[in-house]
Amino acid sequence: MPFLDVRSVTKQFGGIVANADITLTVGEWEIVGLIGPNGAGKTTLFNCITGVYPVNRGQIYFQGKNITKLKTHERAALGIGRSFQNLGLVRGTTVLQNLVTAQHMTAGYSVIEGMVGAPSTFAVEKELAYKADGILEFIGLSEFRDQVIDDLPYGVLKNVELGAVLATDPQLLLLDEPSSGLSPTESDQLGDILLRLREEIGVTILMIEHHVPLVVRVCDYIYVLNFGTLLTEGLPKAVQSHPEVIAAYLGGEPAGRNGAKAPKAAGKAPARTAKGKAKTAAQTAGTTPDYESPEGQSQYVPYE
Amino acid sequence: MATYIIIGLVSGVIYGLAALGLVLIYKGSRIFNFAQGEFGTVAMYTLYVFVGLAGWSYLAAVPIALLVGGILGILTERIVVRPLQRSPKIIGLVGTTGAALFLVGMELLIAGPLPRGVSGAFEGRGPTIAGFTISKQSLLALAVLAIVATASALFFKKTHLGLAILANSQDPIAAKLVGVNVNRISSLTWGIAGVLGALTGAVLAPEVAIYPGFMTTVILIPAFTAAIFGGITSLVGAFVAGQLVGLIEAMGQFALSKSDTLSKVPEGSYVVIFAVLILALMFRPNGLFGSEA
Amino acid sequence: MPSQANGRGPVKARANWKKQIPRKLILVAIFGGILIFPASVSALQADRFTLAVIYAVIGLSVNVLMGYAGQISLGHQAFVGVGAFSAAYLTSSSGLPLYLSVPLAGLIGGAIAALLGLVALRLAGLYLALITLAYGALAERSIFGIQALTGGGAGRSALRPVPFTSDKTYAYLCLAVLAFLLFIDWRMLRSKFGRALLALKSNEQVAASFGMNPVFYKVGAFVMTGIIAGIGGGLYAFKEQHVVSADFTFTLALTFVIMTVIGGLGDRTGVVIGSAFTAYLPFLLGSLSETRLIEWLPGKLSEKIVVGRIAITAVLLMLTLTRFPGGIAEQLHPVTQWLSGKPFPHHDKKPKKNKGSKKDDSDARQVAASKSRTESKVG
Repeated sequence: MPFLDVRSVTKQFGGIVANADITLTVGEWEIVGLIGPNGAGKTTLFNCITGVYPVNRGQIYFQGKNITKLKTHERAALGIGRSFQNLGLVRGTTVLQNLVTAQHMTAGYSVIEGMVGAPSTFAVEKELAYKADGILEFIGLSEFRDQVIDDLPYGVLKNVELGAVLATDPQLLLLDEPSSGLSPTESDQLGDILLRLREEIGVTILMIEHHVPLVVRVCDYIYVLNFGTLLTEGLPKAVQSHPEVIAAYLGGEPAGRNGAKAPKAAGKAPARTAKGKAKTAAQTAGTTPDYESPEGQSQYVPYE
Repeated sequence: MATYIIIGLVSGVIYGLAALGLVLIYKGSRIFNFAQGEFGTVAMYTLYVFVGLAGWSYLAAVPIALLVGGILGILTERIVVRPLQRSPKIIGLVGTTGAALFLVGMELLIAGPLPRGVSGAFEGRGPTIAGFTISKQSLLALAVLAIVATASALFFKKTHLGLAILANSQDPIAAKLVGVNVNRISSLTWGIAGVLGALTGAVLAPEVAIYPGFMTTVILIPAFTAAIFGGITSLVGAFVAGQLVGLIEAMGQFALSKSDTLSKVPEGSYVVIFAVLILALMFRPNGLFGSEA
Repeated sequence: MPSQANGRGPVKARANWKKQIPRKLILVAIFGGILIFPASVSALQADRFTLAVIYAVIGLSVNVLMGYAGQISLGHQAFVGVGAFSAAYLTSSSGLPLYLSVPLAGLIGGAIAALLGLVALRLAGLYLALITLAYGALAERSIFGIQALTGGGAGRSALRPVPFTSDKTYAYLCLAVLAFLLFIDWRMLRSKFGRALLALKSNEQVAASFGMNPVFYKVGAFVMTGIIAGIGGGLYAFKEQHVVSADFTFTLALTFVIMTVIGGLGDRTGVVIGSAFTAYLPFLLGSLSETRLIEWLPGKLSEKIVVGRIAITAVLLMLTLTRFPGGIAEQLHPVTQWLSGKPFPHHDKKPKKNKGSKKDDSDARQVAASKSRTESKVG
């Protein structure tokens, strides 16, 4: 059973069909890329998967559960985390506060308790801060902990946002152009982080990307979108050299535009296996990733 | 019941006239002018000063009131709207509420809080239709509305200035590029809106008791309802919807009067208007003639 | 130590303890002064003090809605008025004691506000502002006109119970309520509720992706604002011991919004100061009239005062909107930072991103530092 199962999703805005009959699957612990020229409908698809847009046709399943009718925050509670193109962060607050805010779902006290400052909230808040520190350490952002995000450079904020998404305890990470604005070195480091996330924490990733080296290095499988339809899908190397994909980006004769519905397999039949599965406790427990040791100190748990 | 229809149509004239100014400003600055009502109230007080205190005739004083309205519009644009044009629209709106408040203060200064009266030029009764006697002043209002309606339709379709205002509202940068002096257009738009607001107040003045904040309390919300109902960017819509709002209000009044308990609701007709406003906003924000929400 | 929700630059560490002493002394002086004030002045002054406190309560209410949740309310006098009349009604008709009728008035205010909250789910921006204005007018014209509830023109009475018949003791009661509400506001903002409000204000989609239910928090913000405003109204009813519907006109709603904006949206201290100042303004103007300053203006003194207050408030609003967006709070920021123990922030105005070479250098250093850290981890 696929982890994420997008079945024939169509999204229309008035006369414009942004997503036409898209079928896409992501297996558990896979890192899947979603590429395509600008305006192909990739972010729209993300918005459909996360519930920002209701779909006109089609169904979406997550871990076997039909989430097509659920609201965004309900899907977040099921473990779908998502990053945004324009930085999904809360302005006017610090990096730490952002990561604590993002842990909203794990803040285990009621609203009333929060308002009166009940003692139970103090322990929870401390825990949230610890976990936030753990994530910051994992990504390497601890020194920005108390800085207001409005002052920080874009590259740093991209990583902060990754941290915020991780703080929501996602099982599926939807990343929208995570490397945009990053230098090649930073992109490389991002790739390392993504691979580590999969290995050590056990997340599944679907990412929109333009940065080809990153995609080829990190992704197990790729879907190509063009003009709202699925142009093709397949293993990275094959897709990379697929003539129609190249044409789509460079503006040559795009073959898949005239309503061809079945995505053409590129090269060999795609044998989709996730490159290395997560072998930590996350695999057996399958739930909350541990960013800290039991003593409550922040350290990431290296794979041993 | 027919009486109520006539009453509704008559008040609809005023609502339509008031809505015109609101639509004009929205077309020009993409903002709701919460001071629009007070342009009218200040005009009323101007009439009070010249007619009531200084003894001028109504017809002689009206141009002065219109001038005052125009000046207020221009001043509001320069002091409140222009500095805030790059901020979110809601900030500009809060600014206009400050202007409204300021004008209420000025009204208090002119004549104190007690209600005042102004005698018009067309005293007395006009024709009686369906049991309701339409005052001559109301006929004047109708005539004014008709004139203003045709004039503004022509203005926006045919004159350079009118087209410039439309261009500026739709795309200020493009308008600048084709040589439209944006600042002057903006001032002019607000000046005209100020005159329209003053006109509404002037036309209404002889028929009501004038007190500070009158127009905002009594006319502004129904005028906004008409403006939105008609499609916030449509001048034609403002006229038509003004009549509709007047009718709905009167019909509501009529319906409420039928029931013993409901007729005791104070200002039930306003409740009806409020309901219309909410329903219009929630289900048909484009209104009847508008092309955008 | 987290910084406030207003983007003022990195939080600085506290200065050493020796430097803390003068700050603590001043803080003690300020709070001590406020505490002693009602007891040591005349009943009239205490009564005015109470008005300032009540305005502060209302300001907090507006701040929750506009400052934290990013909504707008131009009809706030509706909630305050409903609270006032409910409290008066409950006490004079049903005989409920003050300590019950005021909280109940709060709950009723919250319920009324929830209705508006439901509308706010579908509308935003200019349209919502319009609806709130219309709502306020609805209250002013219709709801407050209901004889049974508000006693029509004659109004309703709300007599204070025995311990608080003195203006001075009542001032302390109101001060206690304000302190309590400030505490709740403080805790709320540091809890997940406050963070959710701020996140939703910043970007609703992002907040939803954090698992926050927009409906719950938007309506929740309205409920909170209504409760606090209702309590303010109830306190007002008992202060005057008599309320009439003419007390609650649309100009009052505008005043409430303006005083909160002037104080500084989102900043509790600023809002309290702005509100108290607005409440005191007529009295200040009254004493000014002793001088020649406004003698030449037409009209009676009381009218001049109202006019003066309106004019000054409107002018301050324009200044705040155009020149000083952070309001009083931002102007007082150096002082409040210093008082809370941090060093006097000399150069920290709102830090802009591309300010100058100095800032760019520190940015570059930070980025380089972060790179080397991740390199050492991954490499």
